[in-house]
Formats: sequence, structure tokens, C-alpha cells
Amino acid sequence: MDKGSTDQPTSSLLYSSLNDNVTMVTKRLGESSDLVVRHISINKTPCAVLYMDGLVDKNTVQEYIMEALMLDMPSKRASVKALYEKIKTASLPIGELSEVEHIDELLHRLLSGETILLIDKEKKALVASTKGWRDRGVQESTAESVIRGPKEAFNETLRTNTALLRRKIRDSNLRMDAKKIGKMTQTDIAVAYLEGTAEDSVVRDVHKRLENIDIDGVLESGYIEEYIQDAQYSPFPTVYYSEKPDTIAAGILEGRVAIIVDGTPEVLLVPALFVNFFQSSEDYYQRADIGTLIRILRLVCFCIALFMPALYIAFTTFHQEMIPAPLLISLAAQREGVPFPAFVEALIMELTFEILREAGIRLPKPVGSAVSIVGALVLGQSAVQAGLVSPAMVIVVAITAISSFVIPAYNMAIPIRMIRFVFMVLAATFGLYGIILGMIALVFHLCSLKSFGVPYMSPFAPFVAKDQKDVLIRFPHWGLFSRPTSIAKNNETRTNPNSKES
Amino acid sequence: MDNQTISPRQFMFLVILFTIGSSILIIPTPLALEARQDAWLSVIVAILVGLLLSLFYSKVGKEAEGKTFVQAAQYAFGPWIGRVLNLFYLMFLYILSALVLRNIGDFMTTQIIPETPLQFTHILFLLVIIAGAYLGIEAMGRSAEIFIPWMVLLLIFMVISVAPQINMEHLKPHFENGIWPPIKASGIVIGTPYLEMITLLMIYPYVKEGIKKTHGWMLGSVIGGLALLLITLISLLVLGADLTGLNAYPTYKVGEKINIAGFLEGLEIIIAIIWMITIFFKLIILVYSTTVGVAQFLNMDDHRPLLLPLGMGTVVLSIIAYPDVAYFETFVGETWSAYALTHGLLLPLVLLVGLLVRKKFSKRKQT
Repeated sequence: MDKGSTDQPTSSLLYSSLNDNVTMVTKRLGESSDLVVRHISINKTPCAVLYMDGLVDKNTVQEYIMEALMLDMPSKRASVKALYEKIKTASLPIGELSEVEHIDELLHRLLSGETILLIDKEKKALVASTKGWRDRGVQESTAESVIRGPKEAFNETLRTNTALLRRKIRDSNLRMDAKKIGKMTQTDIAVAYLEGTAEDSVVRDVHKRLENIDIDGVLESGYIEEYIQDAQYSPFPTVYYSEKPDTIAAGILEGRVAIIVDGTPEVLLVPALFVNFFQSSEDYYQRADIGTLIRILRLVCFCIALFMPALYIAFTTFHQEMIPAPLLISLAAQREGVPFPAFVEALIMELTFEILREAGIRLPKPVGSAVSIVGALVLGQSAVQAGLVSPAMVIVVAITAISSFVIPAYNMAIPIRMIRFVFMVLAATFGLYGIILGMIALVFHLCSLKSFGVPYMSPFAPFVAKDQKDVLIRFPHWGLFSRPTSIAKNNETRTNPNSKES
Repeated sequence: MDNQTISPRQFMFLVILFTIGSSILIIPTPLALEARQDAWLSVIVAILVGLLLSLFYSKVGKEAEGKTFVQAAQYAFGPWIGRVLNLFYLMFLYILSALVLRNIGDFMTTQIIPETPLQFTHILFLLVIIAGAYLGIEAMGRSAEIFIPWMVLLLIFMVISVAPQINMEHLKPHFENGIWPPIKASGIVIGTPYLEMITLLMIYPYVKEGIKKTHGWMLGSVIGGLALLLITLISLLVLGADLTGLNAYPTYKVGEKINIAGFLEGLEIIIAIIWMITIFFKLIILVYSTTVGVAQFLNMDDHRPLLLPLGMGTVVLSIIAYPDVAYFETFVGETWSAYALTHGLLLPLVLLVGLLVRKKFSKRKQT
């Protein structure tokens, strides 16, 4: 292992001389320009206040540390020990105050945005929590918009995110276990769950998997997801994520475990079942009947997005006899001038669409509309007019694309996008036979997956009758009498069904 | 082999799918040939016999005390005689899987994808089977739970949509040639699928403990039998005994008759989907049982390395097993019943006796 010279602590304990300590810190930080060292003297004892510019809240440092130390200290002379105790207990009007003895700990606190007070001849340093940097505030969710329901979204600051959750669940059992992951980024992670509701084994499993992570940096919760997910080689996600506090709070209430990562608004939620990716928080805010219908619609869209182009290829290539005669005639007339076989035609259009979609995401906003015009009008319209693709194919690709947007979870739409092409190849080579076999293989794969010990396809397979109330059908809230038993078996009762107006 | 287990309900679903299996495809024709319009009675007789058989098999499974057929035979008769028995048992399973594979291949290449060579149809099917068997019994049980509701829905849809074409006259006259032909014809249904249920003794130990195991087996074989009854009845009612006996795939012919509002036709593909799913499950149970059996025969810890080589053998065997469909039909009608009877009844009977003797012997030794 190659360890840099900056990494070698000459002594892990603080020196007693102020100058030695300050020199040590500046040297360890490579005389960094954002390190602020302010030498002051309190009752003639030399002291130093250290903080990183930009990571601290300057007002706090100014008002509660500098003013308190420089203006409000009594001028009576005292020993260093007494002075230290006085400052620690009485002089600093700061909520979080602690002391450190080790250089490494001091550096770490300094880099987290805390302010250090060093006193000459004292081997301990006082650390005041003055964290405060610019974040973008709690804003409206952009990735998961709803018509009815809370619009707020998590932001990039861990504390804000935990606070958003605390504000939703004011239960003393809500736990926020802290972790640090990333050798260099030292990213703060919070594991949030309801003690007594979440399955202990799952919580322990989450902690164990998080502790096993050995990585230099964590910049987004996706890093964590790839380390802790069960199915490493499956296209299907086994970890749910959301940027909406209400979605995550609902998950925690069901007995799931949330993993909040500093620096990203996306909070992870485990265990995640297949059906979770087809549920939106809004299902619970709108009336139950429409919630049910929408969920069924989403599953239908899942099938359309997955199978539609493949079925079109199979029917037009192999099984023309199965298409009703009037439809077949119309299809055949459309395809008359098309120079490609259906498979190539579908591949061209699907690829075109994927290109358009990718371009649409990356483009700066003002240019975005240009792409949609070019995509929709120029490509769609003129490809048909030029006789390169048939209008039916355009319809198929369009409905496929729109269907894949119906699925609320973006990470569930990704495997669909990929597997669709596999099905197209199967359809082009083996027709319906290939599609059905592919479907069986897909079901087997899904059934073999697990997320933190919970079968991925539950409550369908294994079938849990009690849990069906909140899967395809959403019962009214007074009917959701128990938590999903496939996720957590503790503390099952949710509501008394008789508490409704009869 | 592995520590996976399935619930009694999943086991029941597997029994249902296994019972319907390839029988749904191959049974109506020989039945209608032999028992004419009374063919449906044969199925009822067969269901009753199947019920007794499943009771008998679960008795054997219980006496085996958590051992698969192969392990139990080697335990009861010692490694050498036991292995001779197992050789017969595993050969039966292996040949059966090749035949089942050929059934679906024949159907596909004659009806759905006539341009595709038989070999490639088989290879693709078996690749998916191997992938599924690789995942193990747990995934099999759960997938069965996913597919069963679809099967039921598709069957109901088919029956309802073909209902207008039903002609009750097709079932008359009852007992045209006396009561004997339907009973004799029931041997076809008993031979395939009920005597083939001996295969399930390989996965029986992986079902979670409980009295429900036996119930699951019995209920599964009855429900599966009822589905077969439904299919046979529908074929007879819509096509009549003559056409049913003449067509290679009468149920598929029934599907072709579906016509909803003059627009939705060609729904015979629904039948094909049902067949593919049931045959898939029958074959995957067979392949899984065979590989696990061979692995236990060879004292191997893991059956997975055997899947691919045995699967390759199955493809070849399925191609050379019989030359054409006509040969197969005589084979099913005349040879199979006897072959299945030896392996499906005699073999477990021998095992049961062996296990009981062994039990008594070891008890005496203890005291």
C-alpha cells in the first residue's frame, strides 16, 4: 500500500504548544487557501480559531465564537486549565460543543465544517459545530411529480433529509443510525427505520452490507446501491429509491429500511419488491378505486412496453394467419413499399427512439424543443412518407415508448428498455414460440430474485393472501389493516377497520 | 441437492402443471379413437385411479423420510442393488423427458413455426429449461404460482368463447359399445400423466413438512385431471368423436373455431400458450429430477454441472426417439402403458417393501 506522506501522523495526539498545533494543521492541509486561522489572545493567553472558509456559517462563527471570546470574556487572569474549563462550560453559546485530543479527529472535524479553538499549553481542542453551507433548500420534486400530495423533495444535505423524515414520523422509535462510508469522501450515511416494526434481521443485514463497503468515495446513493443489492447480475433493481419524503416515510412505516446518503436527494429503500416499482405515492392520496385501476393499467403498460414490438415482429413475420383478415390486409398494404423486414424496421425505429430520448435528457433546455420537433415531425413523418418504415411500426414504437413512461419508477423502466431488444431478437428468430419461452425465462428469473431475504415476486410468488390488499388492488385506507407481511412481521396492525364512518 | 424448499401449495401447483403437462396435447386423440364419444368417462375413471396413485406415492414418499427416490432406493437396498433400481428409474425419467420435449417440438414445427427445424426448436426450449432448473426448485415453485392464475384465466376464456359452438348431440349415444371401451381407454390417461407422477418423488422431500403435502399431491392430481376432462369434453362437444380422433391436435382445432364478433379469430394461439407453459413445467420437473437423481446416483454434491451435458443428451434422444408422429401414436397407445406401469407402479412398490423391511430390520437392531 502506498500511503502518502500527508497520511503519516507524527503523533496522533495534539501538542501542548499552540504554534506546533497550528503549524501541524496547516502543514497537514498543505497550506490550503480555504483554511482560516485567526490568532487571538484571551486574557493574555494565546489562542487560535480555525475553520474552513465556505463550510461554516460565518455569522455563527462571528457572533457566537469570535465575539464571545474577544469581547465578553472577563479580564480576570486565570490559569490555562481554568480558562479552558470556563470557555467550555460558560463562554461559548453554541449548541454542539465537544473536545478532541487527536490530530486526525481534529482534521476530520475541521473538514466537516466545524470550528476549532486551540489554546496554548492545552492538549485538548474545543470543537464547535458551525456547519453551514449553501444548499438549494427544499424544493419541488422534479423527477417524480404528482398531482395530489406533497410536492417537496429531498435535497443534497443529509440533515435536511433526516429532518424531513422526522417531521413526517414523530415516533420515538424512528432510528437514524449514522455511518461513514468512503475512505476519502467520508460520506455521512443515515440508516432510518422504525424500531420494532422493521425486521431486525433486515436492519442487521443492511448494517452488515454497509460496513463491508470499501471504496474511496461515495458521491451518490447509486454507489451504495450497487454494493448492497442482492442480484448483482440482474437487470432488475432490487433496491428502491425515491426523492420524495412521503414515499420514503410510507416505506419506513411499512417496516422497510431507508438509507440516506449525504450529497444526493435520492434515498434508498430496502427490501424492494417487484410490485413496489409499480406503485406511486399518489395511489394512496387519490381515491382507492382509481388507485386500483391505475395500478392495473401500469402492469398492462409494463407488458406493452416489453412485448409490443416483439409481438408485431412475430405476427407480421411468422403468424400472419393469426391476424384478423381486415387488419392483415391493411397492414400488408402499409408494408408494401417498405424495403426492410419487420425486425430491421422495428430495430431502426426503436434505436431512433432511444437516441431521441437520450438526447432529450442531456440537451440544454432551450434546445430541447428543437429535438422534439426534429424527432416527432421530421423523423416520424418523413420516415413514413419516404417509405422507410410503415405507419403501423411508428404507432407500435410510439405506444411502446409512452407505455414505458407510465411506470413510476425510472429504474424499473430501464430493464424493460433492455430486455425489449432481446424479445425482438427472439421474435425475429422463433416467432411466438421464442416470445413465450423468453417470457417463461423472465418469470423464472424474477422468481429467483430476492431483496434482503424477501422473495422479489412476493406477495404473488410465494402467494400471500393477506398482502393482496395493497398490490394490484388498493383497498381504502381503513381496509389496509395490516402491514405487508412479506416485508416485516412485527407490529402488524395498522388500523382498526371499524374506525371509519359506516 | 440444495437447501431450497417449496410450500405445499407450490407443490400442488407443480402437480397440477405436471398432470396437465403434455397430456393436454396428446390425450384427446387416442382417447377418442378408442372410447369414441365416451372418452370423457375414461378421464373420470383415470382421475379416480390417479387419486389412489397419488396417495400411494405420497405413502412411499413418507416412508422414504425426507429422501428422494434415488437416495431411498440406495438406502433400502444398499448401494449396488439400489443403483440397479435407480438405473431403471432414471432411464425412465430421461426417456420421458426426451419424449415430452419431442411432443412440444412436433407440435410447434407442424402448427406454429413450420419453417424452423425441429432441432433448433428443441435446443431453444431446453436452454430455457436448463436455465430454469439451474435456479432450483424454489424458482420453479414460485413461477408455478405466477403462471397458474394465467392458465385458469386462459382456460376459462377459451371455454367461454368456444361455448356457442358446443353441440350436446356429439356425446350421444352413451355406452355405444358397452362400458368396457371407456374403462380400457382410461389406461391411456393413467399411463400419461398419472403413472409418470413417480417423477415427483424426486422433489417430494423438498416440500416443507406437513400433512398438507399429501393433500397437495392428491388435490393437484384431481385438479389437473379435471382440466384434462374439460379439454377432452370441449374437443368432443365441439368437434365430435370422429374429428377429435382424426386430428393430431384436436384442442388446437377447437381454438381455431373461436370467433368473437367476427373480428377476433385465430385465438388458437391461446391453446398453444397453455400447452407451452404446462409442458414447460412438466419438462423442467423431469429435467430437474433427472439431474438431481443422477447427481445423487453418482454421489455428487451439486446437480448443476450435470444440467448441460444431460440436456444435450436429451436433445439428441428426443430427435432419434421416434421417426414420426404416427409411430409415436402407436407407441403411446400400446407400449407406453406397459412401460409406465412397470416403472410407475412396480418400481415404487418394490421400494416401499424395501423401505418397510429396512425399517423393521433397523428397529429390531436397535432393541
